Amino acid sequence: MNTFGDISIKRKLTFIIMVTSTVALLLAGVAYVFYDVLTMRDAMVQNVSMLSEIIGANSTADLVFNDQRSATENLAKLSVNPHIVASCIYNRKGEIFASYVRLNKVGKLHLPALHKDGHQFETDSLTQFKRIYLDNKPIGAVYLQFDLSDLHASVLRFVLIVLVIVLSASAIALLLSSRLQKLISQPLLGLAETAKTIAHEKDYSLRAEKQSRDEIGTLIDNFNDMLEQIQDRDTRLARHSEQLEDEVTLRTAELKKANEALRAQIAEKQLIEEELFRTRNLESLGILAGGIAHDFNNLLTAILGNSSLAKITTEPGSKLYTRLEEVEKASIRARDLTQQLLTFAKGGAPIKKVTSIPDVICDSARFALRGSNLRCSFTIMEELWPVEVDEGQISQVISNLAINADQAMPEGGILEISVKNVTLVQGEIVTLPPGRYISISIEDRGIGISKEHLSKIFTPYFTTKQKGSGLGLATCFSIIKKHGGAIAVESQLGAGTTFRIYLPASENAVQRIENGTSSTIAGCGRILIMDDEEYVRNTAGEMLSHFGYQVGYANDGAEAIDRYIKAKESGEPYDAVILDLTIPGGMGGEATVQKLLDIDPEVKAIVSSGYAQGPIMADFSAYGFQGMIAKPYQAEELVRVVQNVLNQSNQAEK
Amino acid sequence: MNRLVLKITLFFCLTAFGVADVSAQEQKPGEYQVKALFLYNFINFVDWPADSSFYKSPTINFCIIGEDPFDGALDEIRDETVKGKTLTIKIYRSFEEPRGCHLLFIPASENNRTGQILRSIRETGVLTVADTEDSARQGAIIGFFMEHNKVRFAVNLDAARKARLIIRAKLLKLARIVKPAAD
Repeated sequence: MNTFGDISIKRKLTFIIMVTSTVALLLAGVAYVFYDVLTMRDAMVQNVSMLSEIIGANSTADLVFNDQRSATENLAKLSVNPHIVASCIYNRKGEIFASYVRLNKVGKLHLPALHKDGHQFETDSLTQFKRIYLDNKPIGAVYLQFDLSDLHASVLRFVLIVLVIVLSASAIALLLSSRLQKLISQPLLGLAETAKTIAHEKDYSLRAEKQSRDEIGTLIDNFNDMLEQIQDRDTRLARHSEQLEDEVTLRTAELKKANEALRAQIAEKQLIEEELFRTRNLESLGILAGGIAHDFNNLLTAILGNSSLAKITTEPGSKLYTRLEEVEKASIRARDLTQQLLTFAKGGAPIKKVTSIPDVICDSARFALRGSNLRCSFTIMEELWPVEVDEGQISQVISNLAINADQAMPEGGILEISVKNVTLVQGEIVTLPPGRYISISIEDRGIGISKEHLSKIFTPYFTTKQKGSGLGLATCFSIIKKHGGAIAVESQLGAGTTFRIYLPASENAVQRIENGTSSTIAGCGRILIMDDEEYVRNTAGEMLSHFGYQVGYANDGAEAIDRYIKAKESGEPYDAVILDLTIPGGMGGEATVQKLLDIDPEVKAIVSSGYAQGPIMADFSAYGFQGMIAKPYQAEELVRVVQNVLNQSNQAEK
Repeated sequence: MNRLVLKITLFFCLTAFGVADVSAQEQKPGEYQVKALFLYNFINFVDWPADSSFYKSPTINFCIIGEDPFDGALDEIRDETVKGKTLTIKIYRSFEEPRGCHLLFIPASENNRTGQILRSIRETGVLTVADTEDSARQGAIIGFFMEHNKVRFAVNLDAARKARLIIRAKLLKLARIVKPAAD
């Protein structure tokens, strides 16, 4: 079944070539013989047809004039052609008019009856009937019989010749193909041999030899390419397995690194959480402080006010005067304490303005270190970026740090304070966004802080000092935080401590506001004081009366408005009103000033509150006030504010 | 008795065959039928002179002078076409009458006047056929005669030349060529 598939490619090629060429030769031979026979037959038919035409034409007169003898003589001339076996002429009626039969055929032949025109091949003869026309009228017909034995003989000869040619051509084709098949089979066998060797020896470095640039050449190229790829893949595989270990090591290292980064992040998060905890601590403390600050400041206002009033009426240098001074000092310390507590409160927003920070720092540090044997050394960068700060609060921070340093260096020394511009990148200080900052570093050569204490120093009420309140550094932390900055500490026991403060730089330029120098000249004018605490009202009233003002009182907003309208109607209006911000159970300063502005757009209102850091206190003019006085206050402070307000209005009137 | 019946039957059969043979003989054309056909066929083997009225005329005028000897045999060729023209047959009593003839037949009855008739024809291009071989010698172009009971014809080439007619070789091959009688 598959016998052809089993034989070798050499034999296949030879076989294919032989079959193809022999079949082609045979077909060509057959076609040639066939064509030749056809041609010969055609020629013969034409010949016979022409001959019968001539016979017919020559017999017209014989036929029409009925001359059989002449016609027979005519036909007898056909004997010159040995192939004509018989011929006859029919008259119009179809009877044989004249005839001719070749001598050797006489008696063996039967002349046929008249048949219609045309030729016909019989076994060994070609017969032809042809009508004879005269003047387009049929007058008879001719019959011719042509011997075909010659034709047959020549065909046979021809076939033999063709067969001989085919056989000899096939023999030559066999000879040639058995040689030429090598052109195709050789490279293929070579390729097969190479493939076999590779399969046996697994040696992919072997290559098949390319002998030609035809499809087989391409096949060999592709085969070689494939081998190349296999070899390449083998090499890479080997290399890969080598590299795998390296890669594993590399990955492990990367993992380790990532792990470390994670740990660092966790630590950082812990740090942030600690700070958050600290901030919350401060906030709760602030809320507590805020709760008591209102009442406390009112009380202090009375104490401070009355003592300052008493001082005025007392002769300086007397025993009473000294006592009053002590009262005043204590009251001021109490006020500062309240102030510190209030910085923790939410309401204790810093009243920020663009400030020349070196002045604030220098003044605060020098003031704090008065009478100390600690000396300041300032290193301040030129062209410092401006910052927006609450001068008082920053001053408090510097003072606290300076005092701490003083206490850490009881034998004295140098406190190095340096201020410079820094640009922080992301993550440099964990709690700060990247950007422009100014950095204040305060460095002492003191006893230092132990590591266990270092993390707690900003916690409220944590102190290592016997007399400390535990609020100093906590306050610093809170203030700097509220300024959008950060405070950090580095310390080494016995070597010293460095505090580093970062404050965000402002885009605004420094504006130097010249405070009008106020004199304590006695004033004149009518002032309405609104406060829910009678002792505050009275203290303030007595302070103002003492300096020559006429004073009216109101318990809450409603009463203040009522009195303001009545006074205006009576022709003796109030020149200014002092409004307490917080009136429990009544109309406070904020609402009252709006109502008063409705009645009299030129009303001069001064806001007064124990929450010095409240938003209204920080930006009073935005709420319709002309001035602000933080409780508690001394008589001079109050009078200066009132005078300022009245002067402003006077200037405005001019 | 039986043999007699057989003989009678055979006789009758033979007679019947003989009758059949006779009828076949009857079908075989008679002398004038053959002559009529010959006359008709002569036209195919003769070329008239180029200036002859033969080519202009739609008819071929076949004239017979004197008595018609054909006895209806002419009906076979009457109105037949030859060389694309219709053969018309005209019979004239007087030899002076015929005009425009292309083929003129002089029957045996006019034998005595053949010379006279031939002379009266002024025009050329008339194929003159006479019923006797002698007439051909006298100047007719073709003259019929009988030989072995078959109709044959003689051709006077001299007369043909005078009449400016060309007789085809095929015809001449079958004809007996005669010379004009020495006058």
